[in-house]
Amino acid sequence: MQEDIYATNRQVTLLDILDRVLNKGVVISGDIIISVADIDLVYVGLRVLLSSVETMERQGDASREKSLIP
Amino acid sequence: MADNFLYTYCIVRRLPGEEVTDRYPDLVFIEAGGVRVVAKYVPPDEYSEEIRKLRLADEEWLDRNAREHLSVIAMVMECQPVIPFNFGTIFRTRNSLADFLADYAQRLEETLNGLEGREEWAVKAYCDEALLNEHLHLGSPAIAAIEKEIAEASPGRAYLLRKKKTELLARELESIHAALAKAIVDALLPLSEQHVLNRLIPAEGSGEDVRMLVNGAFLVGSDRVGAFLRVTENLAGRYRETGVTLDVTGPWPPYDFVDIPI
Repeated sequence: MQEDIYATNRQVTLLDILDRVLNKGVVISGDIIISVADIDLVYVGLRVLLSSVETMERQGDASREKSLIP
Repeated sequence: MADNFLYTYCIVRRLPGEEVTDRYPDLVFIEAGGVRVVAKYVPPDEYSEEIRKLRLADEEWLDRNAREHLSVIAMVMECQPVIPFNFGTIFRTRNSLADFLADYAQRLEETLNGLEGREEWAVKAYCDEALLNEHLHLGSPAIAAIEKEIAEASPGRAYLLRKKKTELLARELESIHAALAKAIVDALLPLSEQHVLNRLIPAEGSGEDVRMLVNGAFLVGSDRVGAFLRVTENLAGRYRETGVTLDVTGPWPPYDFVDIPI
């Protein structure tokens, strides 16, 4: 669980996580090692999924923000 | 176990404590070159190329495994600095992993030293374009001047002036975005030791008039995290009426401050 990861007024989303755990840190290529998928492929493949997650999140943000405006 | 692959989480100096091994009993710790890798054995057939591709399209699988990857690292890093592996990094054999650790021993040690007592925090800032636009109309002398001109102009000239006004608005919006982004980052710099500004993620087809202004990662000394968060709260308060939202998350494994391409 990532209850240890703090996020302002919301849950940590899959997008938050993937945004950090992909394509960074120790990035390995070469034939002694394999990765879950080719790095670029992962990013392209996830983008569709990520944008849908992101859209939901932003709609939430926007409605919260608008309600603050008098 | 000899035929199994090793799924890797992170590199550390010391064995993690019982709180980690009790929670994740499948973990193994591979030692070489003066460091240890937190890993687990996985059957090779679960990670054949076809299956990997299928799984990446499976949101439920992806969510569970990405969260687990993060959770293991987050738990380990409560007690010591970590070098995180990219999600889904798998070594074919224990020997190939040990070779990697030995080859990069010095680089890994330097990286761990640099991360001691520091945390990665992510700050994203978004702005509500509609609200910003409204402010622009109200607050910009240049826009007010051109609107006055349009009101007094002949229909043909008014048409041209309106086009000019649209361009002017777009330019002013750009410069306001840049100024807001700079103000936010500048306010956070004194409290961070390093920072990285990542690519802004476009709101592709979301239909929302929300735009990302800042996608930053900050390396903050553990003793300054409280002050850092207070600054983000102050910034959020200061810019709320402008239509700017701050999204702060952390502490993350220091993905943005580890650069070990192999």
